[in-house]
Amino acid sequence: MLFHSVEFWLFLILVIGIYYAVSPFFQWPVLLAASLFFYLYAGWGMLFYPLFTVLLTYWSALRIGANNRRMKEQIRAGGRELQREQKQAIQARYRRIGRVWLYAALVGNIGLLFLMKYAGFLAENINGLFALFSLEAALPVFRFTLPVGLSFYTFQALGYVIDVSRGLYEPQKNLAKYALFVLFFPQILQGPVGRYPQMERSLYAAHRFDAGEVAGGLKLAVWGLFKKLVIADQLGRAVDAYFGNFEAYPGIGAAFGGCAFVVQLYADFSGYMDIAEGVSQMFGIRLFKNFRNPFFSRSIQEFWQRWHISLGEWFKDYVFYPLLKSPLWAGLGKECRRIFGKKTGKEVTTYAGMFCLWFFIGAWHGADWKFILASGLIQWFYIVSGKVLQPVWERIRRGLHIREDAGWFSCFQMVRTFCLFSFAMLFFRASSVGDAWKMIRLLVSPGGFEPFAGLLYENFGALFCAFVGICVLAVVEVMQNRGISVRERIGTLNRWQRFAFYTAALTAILVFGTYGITDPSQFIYFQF
Amino acid sequence: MSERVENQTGIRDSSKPDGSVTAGGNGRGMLKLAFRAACVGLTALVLYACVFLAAFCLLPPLYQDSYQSVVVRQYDSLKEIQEPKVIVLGTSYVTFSVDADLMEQKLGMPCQIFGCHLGMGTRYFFDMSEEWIGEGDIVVYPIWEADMNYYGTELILTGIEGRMDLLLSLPPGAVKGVLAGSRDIITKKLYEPLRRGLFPGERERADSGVDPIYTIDSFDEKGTMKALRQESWTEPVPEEQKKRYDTAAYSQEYIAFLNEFDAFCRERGAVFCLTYPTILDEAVENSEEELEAFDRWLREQVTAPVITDIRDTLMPKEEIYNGVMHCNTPGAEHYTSMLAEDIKREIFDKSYVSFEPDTAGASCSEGSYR
Repeated sequence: MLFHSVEFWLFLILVIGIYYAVSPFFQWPVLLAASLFFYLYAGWGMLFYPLFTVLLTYWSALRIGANNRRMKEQIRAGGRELQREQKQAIQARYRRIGRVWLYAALVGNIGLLFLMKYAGFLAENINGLFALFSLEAALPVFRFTLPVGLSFYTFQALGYVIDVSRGLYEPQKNLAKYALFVLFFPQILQGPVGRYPQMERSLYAAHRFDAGEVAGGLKLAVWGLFKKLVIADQLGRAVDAYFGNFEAYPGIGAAFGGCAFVVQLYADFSGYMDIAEGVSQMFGIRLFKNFRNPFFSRSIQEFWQRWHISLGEWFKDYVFYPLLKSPLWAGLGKECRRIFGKKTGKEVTTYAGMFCLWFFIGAWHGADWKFILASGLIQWFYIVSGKVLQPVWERIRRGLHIREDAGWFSCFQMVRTFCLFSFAMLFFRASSVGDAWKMIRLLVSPGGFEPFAGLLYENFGALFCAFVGICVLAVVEVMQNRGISVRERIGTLNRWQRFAFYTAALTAILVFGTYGITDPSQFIYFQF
Repeated sequence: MSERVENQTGIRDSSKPDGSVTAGGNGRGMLKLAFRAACVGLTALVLYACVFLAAFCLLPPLYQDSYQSVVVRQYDSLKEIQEPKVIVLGTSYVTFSVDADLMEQKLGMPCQIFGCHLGMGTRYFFDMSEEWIGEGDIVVYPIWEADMNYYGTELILTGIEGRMDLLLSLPPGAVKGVLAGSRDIITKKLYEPLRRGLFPGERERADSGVDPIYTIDSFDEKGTMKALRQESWTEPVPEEQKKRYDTAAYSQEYIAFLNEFDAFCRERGAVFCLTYPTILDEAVENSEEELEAFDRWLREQVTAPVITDIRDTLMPKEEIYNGVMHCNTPGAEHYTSMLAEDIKREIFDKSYVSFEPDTAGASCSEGSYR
């Protein structure tokens, strides 16, 4: 059930009606039932996977929580008489036990994720590697149908177990409540990857019907629909036309393909997030903000602090920092400092850690080298080279007497960031790494304007509609980046002006959007 | 949201500071919001309809030269003919293979072709013709596979561009697709002048790629194809163009529709009869026995008379034009003459309709259908 399908909106109206009609005691069970139905709609067999994750992480977290409690009780029972060494011995003993449950959750969930998503990829690569040396290794290459939202809900549940094992909060004792946290329907398909303490507060609370909140959520959801239907799907037609026959469009065509795809991806993914956030708000539940005007970033590092924030945060908290603190990395750091000196050695260790981090982020997007390169290693290269070359750029900037806060310089940096990201996304959208290289070769080959003009001409209708949408999006993004709330601004208009505005906005979606009697197109991140 | 408070039930009320639990939601508030949202939605729909109508009728036409716009000429002509007439329904195989003027000469009664593009859906032509079928009329349908639930609304809208009367008389089944089709009309009318201005070269190239036969210039005022089609089919028949008469492709729903249409014609005092479309003989995969079996099967299924021998409609290469069901000019003359003879033999001679062949113009007397 896609967010821009008619059945989803009918389902939503029904759920909202029931949610606010029942006693507050039954509100979260209504959401759980709706979430189960929502997931079941994709197919009965699909529910097995999230239920496995829910049960395993719930049970592990409970055991870990109980273990932590026992540890605290024992330390408390020992009182002040307990020596420091004794205390540490107790902690170490209980942590060992806790780690068993944590590993059980990690192995079970990551194992399932690996089996479903990466086993075939790994087997393919091993076979390929053996073939390079003319050896035979015919590992079976399995391709499973991925359960929808697998990477999202697995990460959300694992984050919860890890936090419980760190003693950051107590585990949820009610299985049904915990299941709702993992399965909450607006976010299960594409995130954001939520954190339990942030969601728990509103997820299980009683909510009275608040017309302002519901209307606010509805407006946000409609804005998300606008992004999806008017920009992403319209632009998608031209992008598909380019990537489907990229060899016919050398030169500027390749640049267009990369840039248009990035705008499509942003409109598609952030559109989904807006709908998810808006729908949640209709239930009085706040979700994590996943995008913060990323195209205003002046560097790739900043870009990733504004793009798919919840994923970046997750990897930072649960992969990057633990990795840097691990004994392996401590040893590596020591060795690096010995070889490169204190400062460089530390940097090398950090960059090596970042390499792992970006490799995992890339691999999270999909079991394919194109994803590992596009969303991982190329981004790592941008960030590391940016850091390493920072003093050189600084010197050049000062030499040219350019003020760092000059408006045009900021614009230049934003455009540069956008272009760099678009370049990387050629790998993301291309059907293979080989095709992406071909596109890059075509990017620098002189092809003239004619073939590109043909592409524009053929897809002019879609581009025209997308252009209208992008203009609106640009205005909204500029306002948001300046801290102006568009919704609040609209709220200051009088009733009739508001009515005219909403009507015009909805009409614009009807006129310029992509929809019809055929199946709605999927969201791009749906596949992950 | 206010600070959460845990009450006895374990439910935390996010909005009440004392943690008390509200019973149910605010029904009036909900209704009010639903009403407002519905008002915005409905107004947007009305506004959209206005934008569409303005674009459809007021903005400069874009499809006036298109092939499918012949449907307007055909419809207007059909409307104007008052006297008993022959109406030939179908899709492009009718446009390419029937010469209405020649039919008129042969039968001595006016003839109107109504059908041009398979993409518009065969059903559309049946629906639109209904109002104009009158006493003494002969409605001929060269039967071919068709989905009688399908309307190619987007193509229909481009065909009838600018004609409010035809828009309003769209069959109910076609209205469903109007939303999708109408959006394309609006946006195309908005962007096309810009596109033509920005890419004149591309436009020329695109125009030069269009076969001139597929423009309105190929037709006369009645919507009969008059462009001379001298070339004939020379190539071997591609696999995807091979045809087969297969009873499985003619659903009971389709047959029932034809029988209902036959009943309707009888009520109106008209005669509905079936024939077969022209097909390149090499393109037909059936053996002679299979064709005969199909013909027998069809005659058993339909209440309307089948007036043509199926074998007569298999045309040689020399009479086929750019598609295996499209005749060139000599082919169209041959098929039309044959069809006229069939009508004379099967309809006039069997007293379904009496006629006076020597009198020009309105010549049919009272129709009688057994």
